[in-house]
Amino acid sequence: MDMTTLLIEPLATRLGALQKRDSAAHTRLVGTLPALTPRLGDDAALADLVALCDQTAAAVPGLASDLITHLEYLLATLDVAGLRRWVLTGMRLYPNHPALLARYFRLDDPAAAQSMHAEANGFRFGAAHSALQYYLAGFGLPDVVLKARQQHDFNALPVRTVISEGVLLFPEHYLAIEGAGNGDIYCAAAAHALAHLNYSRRHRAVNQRKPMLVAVLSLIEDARVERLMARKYPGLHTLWGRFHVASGEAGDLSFASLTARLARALHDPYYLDPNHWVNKGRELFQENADRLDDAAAFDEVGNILANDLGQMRVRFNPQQYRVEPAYRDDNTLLWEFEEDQQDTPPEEMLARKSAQVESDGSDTESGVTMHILAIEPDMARRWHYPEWDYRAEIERDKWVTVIDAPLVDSGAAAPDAAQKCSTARNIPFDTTTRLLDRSIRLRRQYEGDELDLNAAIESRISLRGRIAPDPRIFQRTGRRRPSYATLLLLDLSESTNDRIKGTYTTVLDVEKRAAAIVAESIDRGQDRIAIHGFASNGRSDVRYARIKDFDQPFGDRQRQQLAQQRGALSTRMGAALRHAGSCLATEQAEKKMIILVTDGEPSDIDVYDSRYLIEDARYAVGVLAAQGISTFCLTLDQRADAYVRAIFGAWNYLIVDDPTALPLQVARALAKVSAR
Amino acid sequence: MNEQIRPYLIETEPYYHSAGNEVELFEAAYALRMPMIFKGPTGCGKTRFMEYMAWRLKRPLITLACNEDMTASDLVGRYLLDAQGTVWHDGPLTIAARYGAICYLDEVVEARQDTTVIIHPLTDDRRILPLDKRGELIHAHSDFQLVVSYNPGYQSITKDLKQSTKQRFGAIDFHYPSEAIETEIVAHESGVGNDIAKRLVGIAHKSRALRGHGLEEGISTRMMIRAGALIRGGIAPNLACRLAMTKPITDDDDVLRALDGFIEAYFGS
Repeated sequence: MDMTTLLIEPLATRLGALQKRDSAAHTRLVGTLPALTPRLGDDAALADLVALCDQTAAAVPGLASDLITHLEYLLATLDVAGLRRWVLTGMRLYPNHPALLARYFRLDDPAAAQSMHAEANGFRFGAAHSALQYYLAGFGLPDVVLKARQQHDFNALPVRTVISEGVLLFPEHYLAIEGAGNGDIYCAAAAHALAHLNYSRRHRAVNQRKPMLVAVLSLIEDARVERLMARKYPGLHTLWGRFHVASGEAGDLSFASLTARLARALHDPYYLDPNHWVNKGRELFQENADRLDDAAAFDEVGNILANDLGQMRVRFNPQQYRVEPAYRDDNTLLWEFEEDQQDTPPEEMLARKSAQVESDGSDTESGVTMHILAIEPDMARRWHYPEWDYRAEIERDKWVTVIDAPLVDSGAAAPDAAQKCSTARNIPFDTTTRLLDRSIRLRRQYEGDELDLNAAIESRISLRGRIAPDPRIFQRTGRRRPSYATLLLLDLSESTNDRIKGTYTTVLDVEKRAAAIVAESIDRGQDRIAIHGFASNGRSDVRYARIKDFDQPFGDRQRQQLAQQRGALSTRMGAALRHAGSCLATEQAEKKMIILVTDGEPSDIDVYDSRYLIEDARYAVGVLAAQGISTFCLTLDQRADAYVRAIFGAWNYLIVDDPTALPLQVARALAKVSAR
Repeated sequence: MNEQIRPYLIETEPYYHSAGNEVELFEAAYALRMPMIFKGPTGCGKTRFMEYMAWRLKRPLITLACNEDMTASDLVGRYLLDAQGTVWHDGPLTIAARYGAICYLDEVVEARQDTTVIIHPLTDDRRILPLDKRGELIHAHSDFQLVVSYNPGYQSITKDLKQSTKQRFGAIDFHYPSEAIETEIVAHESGVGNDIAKRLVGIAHKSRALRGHGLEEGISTRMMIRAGALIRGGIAPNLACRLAMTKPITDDDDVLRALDGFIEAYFGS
């Protein structure tokens, strides 16, 4: 099979970029891709991997081939994010030694194996996110927004946490070589941020202060607020202490080393450092240690220390400096830089402004240049499904690609399409279906499986007391109605834009109204409903839109989503049904059903045999039935008899004569399906 | 006092640290024999308060934990069989009403609503308890009082008291006590020093901030006392807190991580 035809678009562009930059690496990568694909699972990971190779080729020219040689081995242990951390670790270890880095990539360096194992479990923001959110809520910040801060430039220094009002940006990952393995580094970072938020004066004007002074003052402030915080929470001292790993044994006199050691000396009273400046810093700090609330006194300490550094001719390059240890933040919270000299990365600006900015996670980057490809957010996920070819009687594996993403987001809402409907409450489900539930006990029954002891004793007592006994002495287990998960699948093809005869309403409008009514009338406590839509543009592009997912409420946003749907393209029913089935697969409900609302027979631009898609849809319905998912079709096509019966079976469809009655019919269909 | 209820008398003073004017209020309510509801989160001291008041008022206390399977006859009593024939056995509510004790129904909403209505005639001005099976009408003893407790937080909407039941009662709302008082309680009950008690209370307060953000209920005073007792018994504080305070209340890994983070902040790890 020709690989390139199956490749998704971003992957192809990325491969192209790599080819331009390093054709040897490109050839090698294309050679290994087939072996790697099963390890990676989905296309997004594959695209990430290619982007990673491309970034490596850009950052260290000529070394990408070395990296690609052992990809298969590496990816057995690491995922792509882990691989990225592993590559970054190599670059951090050998910043200006391509030869050593090549050894690392070729796994000839023991550090490579070490780092591979250390990064296998990784320290990612994604894994820590919700725990952090809870942690901060416990400390009184329930509404703070937490976001990952990505490192776009591969060769740049590691990013640090950014703190601002209402938003905390944490690094997307920490590397094991930064000490991330010594403890819960995200927790330490959050605690440090809390220390600043509790005790630091924010946004002081920088004025004439030199960058080095600002850095030293920030360091002293870090130590001060940590002490204040540890006074209240003594355990934090130990937590932070684990990440202080700087040591003066090598006699390094660079600014980065000296400040990291000073930070450690201020933290750990037992740490011994050979350097006079570090020890002087500790003494000066200690003199003021009993009045930690007096920030001015500590400014004085910072001034003296920075002055000393100047005298020592220690050079400071703000671009090459990162606060150490890794859990600390970049201290931009403390200072107000003047606008013109500020080169804050855009996401920090975002963080600062985000009191007003609503975070919807859709910060797509436009105009991506060719040299470094930013990873787009994983909004459109691709899924491959088989399709049934009735002529050959085979199921063609991975034949159709379903793109699970919002359809066209055209902005303006269609008027009244999904208007709030206050009628038709609580109609949908037939309440006669019952499941046995042992937690419900029906006592005092005329008949039952076991004796109700209390009733039986009372009955005997009555007999002895010569009173007519109550004959209801049995108990049995009760029944309850099952829970339902319903997926309402709307046909969003071009033909739904047709107007219903004699009105100005389109078929789509009616579909939307029906969806809104059903979503509102469902019993939220017991049943779950999702509203999805689909349209197709050939087998490689079946678009699938999640208007309302099972976990979402039917709120304003969902209403708006529903209203924004436009009819376009064709109807590849089988693929959509299969994808709907996989959406339902994770649901826990006892009864699962898909209600398909459509206006015509399945069709698509690349299919000329009208029976082909009908047969495929029939096959899909059969597979769903085998998975325990019932399907039901509501069609507005008056001539649908010929094919809906073939697809859904004799009892599972309804041809709606009067389109305006569709909402009511949908509700009836729900009742009908649920009654089975 | 009748021999039937003497065993229910509380002999020694239970430790109770008042957090407001609840002692005074309850005494006034008892003077009128007004039925009372104690509301409040679990482990905040409702039952302890009841014991303390029973001791203070020198009334026997008959406690009954309610559950869904409880029937009216579990409360008022039933006929049982013995060799001679049938014998009537008074239920706890009947004993209390007949001989003048305080009847305390714990977690009353757990009982079904049709069960709880049998307390209606006892809780209005009639103060009677008809035993239909026995054909007897009990006029409640002048010392009898009915107290029920429940935790409004975690019951589902379907489990609630009927309005007609609620309106027969007065109510006292219990909360976790303030930090200082809670520290004192934890230190007294578990025997740890004030410093450790304070840290335990700090952890619990952090966890209570998570109520509704992942936790149904924060760490209660009772849990802290248990943790404190473990610490006093020589268990390392962070281990004791994990065992007695954080692990029992949630199964969610992320919440647990955050709670362990609070422990780490106070006790290290």
